[in-house]
Amino acid sequence: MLLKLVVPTIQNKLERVRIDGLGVVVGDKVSPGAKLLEFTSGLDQAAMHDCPPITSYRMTSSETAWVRQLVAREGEDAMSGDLLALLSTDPDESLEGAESRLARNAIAAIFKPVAW
Amino acid sequence: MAKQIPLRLRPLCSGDLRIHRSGFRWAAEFGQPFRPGDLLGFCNITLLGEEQGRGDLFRHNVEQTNFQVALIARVSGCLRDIASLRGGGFSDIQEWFLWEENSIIVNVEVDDQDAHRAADDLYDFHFLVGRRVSDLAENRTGLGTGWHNRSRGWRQGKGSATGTVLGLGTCELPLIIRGDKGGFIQLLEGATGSVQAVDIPDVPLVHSARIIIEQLRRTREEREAIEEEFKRGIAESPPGSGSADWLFAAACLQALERTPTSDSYDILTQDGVEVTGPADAIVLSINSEASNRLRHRRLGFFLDCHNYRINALGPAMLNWLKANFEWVAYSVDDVRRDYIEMTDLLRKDHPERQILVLNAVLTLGKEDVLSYSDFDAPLDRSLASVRVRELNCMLHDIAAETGIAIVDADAIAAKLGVSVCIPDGIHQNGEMQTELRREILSILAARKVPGFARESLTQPQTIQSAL
Repeated sequence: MLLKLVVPTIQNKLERVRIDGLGVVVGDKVSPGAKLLEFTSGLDQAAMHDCPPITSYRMTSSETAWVRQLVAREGEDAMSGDLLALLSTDPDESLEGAESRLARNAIAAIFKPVAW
Repeated sequence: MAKQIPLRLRPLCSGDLRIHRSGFRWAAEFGQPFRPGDLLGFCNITLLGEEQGRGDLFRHNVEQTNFQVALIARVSGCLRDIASLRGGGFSDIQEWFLWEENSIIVNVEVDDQDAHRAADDLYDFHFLVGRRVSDLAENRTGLGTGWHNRSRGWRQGKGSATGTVLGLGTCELPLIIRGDKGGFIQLLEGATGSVQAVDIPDVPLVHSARIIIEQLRRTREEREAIEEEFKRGIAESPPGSGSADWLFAAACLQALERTPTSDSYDILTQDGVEVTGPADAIVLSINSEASNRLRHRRLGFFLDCHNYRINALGPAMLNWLKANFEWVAYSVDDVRRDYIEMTDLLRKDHPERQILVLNAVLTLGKEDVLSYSDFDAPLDRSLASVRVRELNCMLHDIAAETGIAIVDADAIAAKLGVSVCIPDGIHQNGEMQTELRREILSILAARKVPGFARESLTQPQTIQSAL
């Protein structure tokens, strides 16, 4: 089965995120707890008002799967619901026309390393 | 049957002060109804007299130029224009008029049950004053407008002692203290005694417990050394550096040099200008306790600023910070140590002083971690959710020991619905701020803070420590 990894909805006012880093490459096997990627939300709000609600998150896998295709790129923006990656429950499963569902994952707000 | 009464000015005080005022700016539109407690209007005022020995309200570069008095309705009714009084423009900003008792400033249409009231019995005075960051920060276009490093409002009620509550939190607190209408009107509304509310914004300094401790312990020599350091930072900026960064440095220095928890306050009363303070109650926010702080490498003082302010600095100021400050990881245990030291210091000469702390909202965002094994330990320095939970637990642990009162923002947010009352995950909507304000007032009343002790208020809903 194909597993679609998408940008989660963080808060109803925060839809745009920036991909800070990827924790996997195509072909990797991920297990529950494995780091998939890190992203920051709220950057679009920074242009709109003071005290922007900027928060960094780490997304981890909640199931065993294989990374088949990476859409997300470091430094790029994405919106809630956008596809980040395609995973599969079997390593050699065809990416064409297979049954799919959303990948099971978890996110946690993290403290980013400081500027210097 | 409604009756029109001319609204007349009462004397502001019985002393020998000469008081000038601007024209009134009306908050209620003519013909629109208002209720008791509503802001009717306000004007700028200036106290004139010998400056020597008369305090901040008389000093041009302190509070004299941002002093206002508002009229708060005691009755229901609506305002009616007086055709002969033409204000607007600078008439409503500059203090061109003498404050004269019995001056008619507007007509008020009231219901029959209030028709017996005298024309000067329709309103209460509500005073507002702001201390500008700089004389350049001039903005007298509205109620409490301008860039102030300290804003305060007060009302005179029964009883001689004025109770003062000081807000020293992050962005979540000023609107709770100052209210949606601005000017502290909602917080001070309905107080039976003499009350004052003070707001110190987190611009640019965030008042963590460590910052408050250092402000209280700082010697004159240490202040001078810090001043030299900031002056050097500005002086060494290369040509073309952003002058906005110099303002940042100057505002940081100004905030570091002050001790808001020790401030006294001049207030205008019926008997003239009196001095009150320091604050009887201080409201803090646990969200002020960042996990990483800037500390000066040589002098050792902390400079707590929001990261987004640091990130917005120009390259020269950023390089100066990098060269002279280091990031220090700050654990929950460090915060616990600071809170115990801070409460001891704040109560050293004021044993009755109350300290209220807004806790953190835990249920923010969408976090569903199944395993913490892949996150770096200690988790309070890598995961925000763990840190805020540990901070909230720490507050409970020390509440009995320190006597602090926890304002349970977390419980209130959960009750109201987090995604509704905190839409962006940080900033509360009006409903939550109203609930937090009510809770703070209940705690102040329960702890018998002068002026705020009101029998009509309910017991605090969320307070956790023994009263």
